[in-house]
Amino acid sequence: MRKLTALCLSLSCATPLAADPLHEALRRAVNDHTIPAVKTFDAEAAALADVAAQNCLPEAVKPAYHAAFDAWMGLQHLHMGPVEANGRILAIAFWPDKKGMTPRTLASYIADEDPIIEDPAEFATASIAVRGLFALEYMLYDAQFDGYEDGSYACHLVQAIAHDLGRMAHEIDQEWTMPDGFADTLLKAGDAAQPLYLSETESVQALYTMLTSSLENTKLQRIGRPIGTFERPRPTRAEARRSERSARNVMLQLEAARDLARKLAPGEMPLAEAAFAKTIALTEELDDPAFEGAEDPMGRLKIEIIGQNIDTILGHLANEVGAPLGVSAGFNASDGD
Amino acid sequence: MSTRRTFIKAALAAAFVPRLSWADAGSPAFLGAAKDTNGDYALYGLDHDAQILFRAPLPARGHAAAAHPTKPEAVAFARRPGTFAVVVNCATGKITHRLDAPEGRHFMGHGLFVNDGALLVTPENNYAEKKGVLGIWDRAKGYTRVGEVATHGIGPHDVRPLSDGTLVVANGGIFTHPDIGEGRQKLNIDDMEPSLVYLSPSFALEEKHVLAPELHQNSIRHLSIGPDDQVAFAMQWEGDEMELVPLIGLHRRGEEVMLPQADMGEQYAMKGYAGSISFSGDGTEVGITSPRGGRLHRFAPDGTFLGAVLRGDICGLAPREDGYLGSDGFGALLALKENMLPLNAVPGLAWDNHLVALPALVG
Repeated sequence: MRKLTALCLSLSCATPLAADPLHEALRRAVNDHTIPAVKTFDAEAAALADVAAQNCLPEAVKPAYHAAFDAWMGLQHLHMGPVEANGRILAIAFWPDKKGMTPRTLASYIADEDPIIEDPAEFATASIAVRGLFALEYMLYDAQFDGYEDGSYACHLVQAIAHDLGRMAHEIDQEWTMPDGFADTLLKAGDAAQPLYLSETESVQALYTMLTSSLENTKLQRIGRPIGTFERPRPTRAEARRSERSARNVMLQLEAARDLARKLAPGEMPLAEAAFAKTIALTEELDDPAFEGAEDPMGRLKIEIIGQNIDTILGHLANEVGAPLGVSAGFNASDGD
Repeated sequence: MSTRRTFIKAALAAAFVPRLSWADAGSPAFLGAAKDTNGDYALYGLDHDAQILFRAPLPARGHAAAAHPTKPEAVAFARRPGTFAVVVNCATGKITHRLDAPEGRHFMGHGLFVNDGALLVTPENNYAEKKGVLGIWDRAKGYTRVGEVATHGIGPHDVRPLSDGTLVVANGGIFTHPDIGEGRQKLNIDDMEPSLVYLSPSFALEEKHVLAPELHQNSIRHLSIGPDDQVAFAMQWEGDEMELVPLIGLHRRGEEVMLPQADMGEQYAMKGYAGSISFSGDGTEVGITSPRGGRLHRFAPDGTFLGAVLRGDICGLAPREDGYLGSDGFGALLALKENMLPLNAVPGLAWDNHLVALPALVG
């Protein structure tokens, strides 16, 4: 590449190499979106592990927990490569936990004083129900768990969870950014050491799919679970409601998706920008951090409208990002049988 | 339905080219349907290394094909709720017959030649009576319909043969009606009951297996037969996405059904959906694909999870060497085992849900 550029300069090429919009979209999305995302999560999860190691008590750990969760919301939409390898995505964020496995498994570990927490390598193989941000949320915020004392089993469990999160975040960062790591898998596509995407189009396609499916998932899960049906709203199903992050997670997910869309977009995306801004504003104006308002019809409607606005975003993204790049959702993934 | 004209044409074709065999179609190893950039659909013949040998245009989106055991004929089925199938002469690329489902029935996208290719059987939805049937078509009579038999379940999807001529039917359990929701809307999700059924060579019910009540929303859709007539079936979960359910079943007649799973993270990553299933070419393992989860899951015949291979939109799967041939919606045809090796990539060609393997035939 460097050689080519030099050659180009010497011949004073009229057309810069940067002319291919797909190629540029891929470079921007990988270098300016995905790499900062894995770096930030690594840094914040490491800080969380450090804080917990010094003081395991809820009030001390909570700010670092929030910072790490914020960073995760900037990364969790990238369900690919190191993020989804080895079941990490669920080990970091096991939600929705339909069967209430998290509190049940935490309680049994604590009751048994399961020694698995003593060895980080062992804890890495523990049930995903006692690992990650949602297990930590129970320990820090739920009345069943948050009364533990310094030096207790529960205190060491919190430290083990935080340490395990730091380890996973660091592994993701390394596997993503190292030479011939996942960033190179995306950037080099068919020329990668172990090709996963056979062309730059496929790499962009994969990133675009992450963008759209993350928004669909926010609508379906983060919005859809708490609003339930009109007859039966389910506010206690809101994501991370114990730490009052339900609305914040929607906002941060929208912001992460917007950033990825901006990096992928070959030109301006005025309609998508407007739709993102409106949807984020609606979520802020809600002023209902744990979506408790889903209980009454008016509050429920306001949350439901956020979901409808996500559909609007998706429509504009298809026109302003997907179509100009020549990518869309997979043929079989979107319509199987 | 054979008109007088198609019958004469077929008779003439038979008279002039009496010995047409798969070699005349280039001896394809696989058949697959795909959509091209113009939005046109065609059936493709592929050689062992996934290079295209022929292309036969189809009138609409296909689902799967049935290959005749000796004659270079493939029957391509319209996808649900299609009411027609076409017989493609793979040596000439021409459509020689068109099969129309009788009143009150539609095809399910799959079919199978039986009796050494004398008969074609087609899973169908008899929506008037809300039951599944196998239509029976006589090839020698120009693919006329000669009868139908019950599959003993709703929504039969795939049908495969055992070595003794026994037929295995996957009753998906889902009722649809062509007049409702473009014929693909699921109308009985709350009380669906998928089943695995064995029919004798004369189509009598021999065994029927249903899943445990908590898995009644796990639609049994596709089949692959392994060594010693081990039956592998792939499922599509219609219940809550976050429920962890098995997506592959393994069964031998007279034994219990095995429902193995991958480890939790991998199992979730399949997104409750297996699109295709195939034993490996050497029969030592069996794979299921999830285009939604973008992965192939490999299992040993005893149910041990062997690993995942990641590939977005992967769906079609057929046996090849000691592994598989896989296809996806991005035009790629991949050799798969522990890793993937691209064999052919045709940008703009979106391979449809299934690949069909042809037995290696010479002459």
